Formats: sequence, C-alpha cells, structure tokens
Amino acid sequence: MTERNEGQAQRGQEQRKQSQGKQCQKKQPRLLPPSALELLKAPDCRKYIRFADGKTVLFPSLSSPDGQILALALEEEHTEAGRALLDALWFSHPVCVILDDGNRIQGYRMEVYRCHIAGPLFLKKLLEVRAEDPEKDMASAWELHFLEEEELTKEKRAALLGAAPADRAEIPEWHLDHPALHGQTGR
Amino acid sequence: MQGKRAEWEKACREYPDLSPFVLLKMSMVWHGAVLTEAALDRLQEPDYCFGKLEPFGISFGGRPADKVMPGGILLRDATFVYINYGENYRDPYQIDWDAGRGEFLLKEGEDVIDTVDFVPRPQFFGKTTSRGTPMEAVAEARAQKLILTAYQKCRLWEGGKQCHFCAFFTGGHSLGEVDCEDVYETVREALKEPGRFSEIYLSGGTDFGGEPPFSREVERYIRVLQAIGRNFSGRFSSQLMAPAYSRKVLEHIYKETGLTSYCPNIEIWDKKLFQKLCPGKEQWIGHDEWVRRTVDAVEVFGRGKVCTQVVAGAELAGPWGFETVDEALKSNLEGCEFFAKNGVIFLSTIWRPHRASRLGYQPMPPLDYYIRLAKGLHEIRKSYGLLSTNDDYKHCGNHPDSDLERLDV
Repeated sequence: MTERNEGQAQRGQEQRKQSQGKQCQKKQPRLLPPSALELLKAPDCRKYIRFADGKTVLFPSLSSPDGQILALALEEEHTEAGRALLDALWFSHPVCVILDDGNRIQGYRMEVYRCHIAGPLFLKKLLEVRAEDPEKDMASAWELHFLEEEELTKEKRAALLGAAPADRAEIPEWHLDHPALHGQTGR
Repeated sequence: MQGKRAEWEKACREYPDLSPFVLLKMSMVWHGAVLTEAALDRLQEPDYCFGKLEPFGISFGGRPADKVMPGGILLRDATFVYINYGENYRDPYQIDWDAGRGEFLLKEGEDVIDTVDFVPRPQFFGKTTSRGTPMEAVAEARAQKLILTAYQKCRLWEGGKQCHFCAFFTGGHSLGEVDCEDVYETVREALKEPGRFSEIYLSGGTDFGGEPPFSREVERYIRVLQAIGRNFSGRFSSQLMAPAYSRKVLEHIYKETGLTSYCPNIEIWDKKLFQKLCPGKEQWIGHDEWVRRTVDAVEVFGRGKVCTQVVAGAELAGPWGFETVDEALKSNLEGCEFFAKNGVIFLSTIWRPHRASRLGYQPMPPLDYYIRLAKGLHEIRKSYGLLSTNDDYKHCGNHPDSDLERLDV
C-alpha cells in the first residue's frame, strides 16, 4: 500500500467511526429545491452522481417520483456503481447529484437514503426501465434525500467529462419474469 | 443495564468496517421485536397483509388469533430481518406505525432508532389453484425470494431423532406432500408480478423413505422442480435445501431439472456436537459423509453454488455445547476455511431458542459472538473469492455474514 493510499484508508476509517451509529437514525427529509425539479424536466438533462471518492457516474434514470425525493434505477448491483451507492448508504457518505441541461448546471448534496428491492417505488422504477426496453431489468431502486445545494468546483465539473453510465455485472441479474428465461428473446 | 441502542452504537464503534445495518439486524434478531397494535393493524391492510398459512408452520403462542402476522422486516438498505412474531422476548425492540409520517418506526421505548419497512404482500396471496389450494399455503415470499416446501413434515421427528434446535412443523397446519400442479400454478401466478422474484428456493422436511433411503424424497424434489421448471425455458435461479445426497443422485437431479444451486445444511460443524444435536442426520448419513458429499456437490453445481449453513449458537447450548465462545468461534471458522478451500460457502444463521424444540428455551450466546462470527466467516470466504449469489441479502437474508458481502468485488 502506498503512503497516499494508507492516508486515504485511515481517513476512511476515521470517517466511518464518526458516522457509525448515527447512520440509522430517523429524520425528516428536506424537500428538493425547485431548481432541481426544473432541471429534471428538461428532456436532455444529463444526470450524474459524484460519490465521496470522486467517482462520477451517469444515471439517466434519476427522477423525482413525488417532487420531494430523487430515485434511480440500478440495473445491476454487483458493479462499481452498486457498491458505491451501498457504501454511501452504509457509511453515511453523502453524494453530489449534478444536473446539467446544457444551459445550466447545478450540484445538490444528497443522502443515499434507502435501497428498494420490492414495493411501490421499486415497481415504479422497474416499469420505467422495462418501458424503455422490455429486455432490460433492474436490481434495485435507490432513494436519495436532499441535504443542501452544492457548489460545483472546477474539479467536479472536469470529472463530468469522463463520466460513464453504471458498469455491468459479470453475470446478468435478472428477475425470474425476464423474457430471457422464458424463451422470449434472442439473448 | 445497557440499552439496545447503546449496545448497537458500541458495536458500530468497535466494528467500524461492518455495516451498521447488518449490526442492527443482528441486534434485532438477538433481542427480538414486537409489533404495537397500531403497526399490526396497519399490517392487516392489503399492501402488507400476509397469508394465514405458513408452509414451515412453527408454533408460536403470543400471536393474536384475529390478526395475520406480516412478512419479514426490511431495513433501509434492504437488509432482511426475520423475527419470530409472537415469541416471548425478554427485552424486545418495538415496531410502531406512525400514521402522520406514513412509516413504520423501530423503537426502543420512545427512542426512534430508524424507519423500517416490511416485505410487501405478493399478489398471488389470496388466490387459489385450480384444485382449490390456497397459494399462500404452497409458497412463502420474501422480498425477492419465492419459497416452496415440497414436504411439510420432517420424518426425523419419528422416534425423537429431529435436530435438537428445530421447531419446524409444530404449528399443526402442515399439508404433508405438496401437489405438483399446485406448485406449477402458484409459480406461474407469482411470476406475473413484475420483478417480484429473482430466486426460487425449494426445501422440505426430511423424508428418508424408499429404497435406497431418501429415494422417495429425491424423486419428489425432481417432480416439484420439474413442475416449477414448466414455467421456464431453461435453468432458472434456484436453490434446493435438502440432505447431503451422493454425487450420483445430485447429477441425476441436476440433469432432470433446472436447478442451479444446492444447500445441504450441516447445522453443526463440530463432529461430536453434530452427532448429539442432529441424531437423525447422523443416523441416516453421518457427519463425515455429509461433509464429503457437500464437497462433491461442487463438481455438479460449480464453485460458490453449494452452500451449507450452521445454526450458530446451538453449538454453545447446554448440556453438550462448547463452554466458551472462543472455542465455538474457532470451530466454526475452521469449518468455513475447510469448505471455502473446497469451493463451498459456509454460512451462519442466528439460533433463536424455541420452546417447542428439544433444546427448549435457553440463553443465547452474547451478541458479540454473532458479530465476530459473521465478520470471520465473511473474511474467510472473501479471501477465497467466494460470493453467495444464491444466499445473499436479497435471496435469503438469514445470514449476517453474506449480508456483509455486498461491498465485495
């Protein structure tokens, strides 16, 4: 391990120690600011999440189901993107949601609040994914709560250039009703 | 006395690399939880109301006769928590319904620990098969797992040879052998609900009948798996939890069905304790043969597709158990290391003493034992690159050690 990595690991440990025990406590979410809802309405809005380690991922499925929270569809969990979302939830590492409609770009510091693997929000996001492509599937839906607006530094803006959609798992993560399991696809 | 929140927060500080949610789950299983009247009333509504019939039919005294017990609990990270509703817990958590917030709250007295949710009611519940069998009696549901029971009794109870920690089928409502057409129709109905299930789990009580022994059970499992398989065009994500069969038998099952993984639960790793606590398994198969067959199964199903589970804590139960948690931990970690070397995933589940079992109601090992065990098992399996894709947080939820795998590459 290099000195730099050791330093990062120690800082990570410290952050985790500080956040432990606070993570599961109940609090009311703050509502999304109107600017976020406006940006989300733009048809060509690019939606990114920058994680605590600087990794930035494009999540086109990011939307607000109720004008209060954000939700995204994660196609597969055994991926870097899946682990990054889980790390943010488990260890209270807020993320920066970045919305860019081409004219305006804005950052929002958010808490990764809940992972849904069943229930109404899960179903809503799954149906959105399948409406786009019936052969697509979704491992889980993730609920994000707004904390505060966040200034986008030069570094954060630069990271957007290299951002890609969530990576793919080695093995497809299909539900049992996926058409591939019923001879209804060429896959 | 240290409160539950204080105990959990202390665990979070002592094990900063472990998920606070998994630690909370262990604490909830250890202490138990009770539902307030408001929560139980909310859980009778159509989005949560589970079935009245449970395929594993365990007897619990403290359940109100006019209410249906809910499915398992889901923490915010989707960690599944299985609670024996109606058990007589000494100092349980409370789960309340807050109508103003529209949320279930996990509480210790008036202190809100977190918001929680429950496994939603699957849409096939309340429906019947063409034979008139309630589908909820054929299959049980977790968040992503459909559970079928091929044979709703265990013949190891004949002559008192059942596993000493077991209380399955003590509720008196079991159906015996399941009908294959009922299975086919129930699975077909379950699959109509979009994205509701990603694994089918088949198990049942042990039936050693037939010649050679277990042949009746094996043929029954094949029939049931074939009935399930009529809903698919090829193999489907599935697990069979059954006794340890010979490689030849497993090859037969694999060839005839769409099964993808296999779980012969050893229950107790230590050989002498296995012989005492699992007398039926010892009589019909034996510890060494159980281990050998479990390892052989990897050649049929593949590395990481064979699991075995211990009922952690029962190895410390009186009168025969280990005297210290360190001895118990050493034994289980040795078992995990052995199996991991051979491509088998060795999992733990938390033993909840039940008065209907032969061990009866006796104190559990301390919570810290379960934390150290989950951490140790996870670290060993990780070092061998093993990932429990069939027994993970989503497809089982009974194993804190596999809940910890979610960050593994």
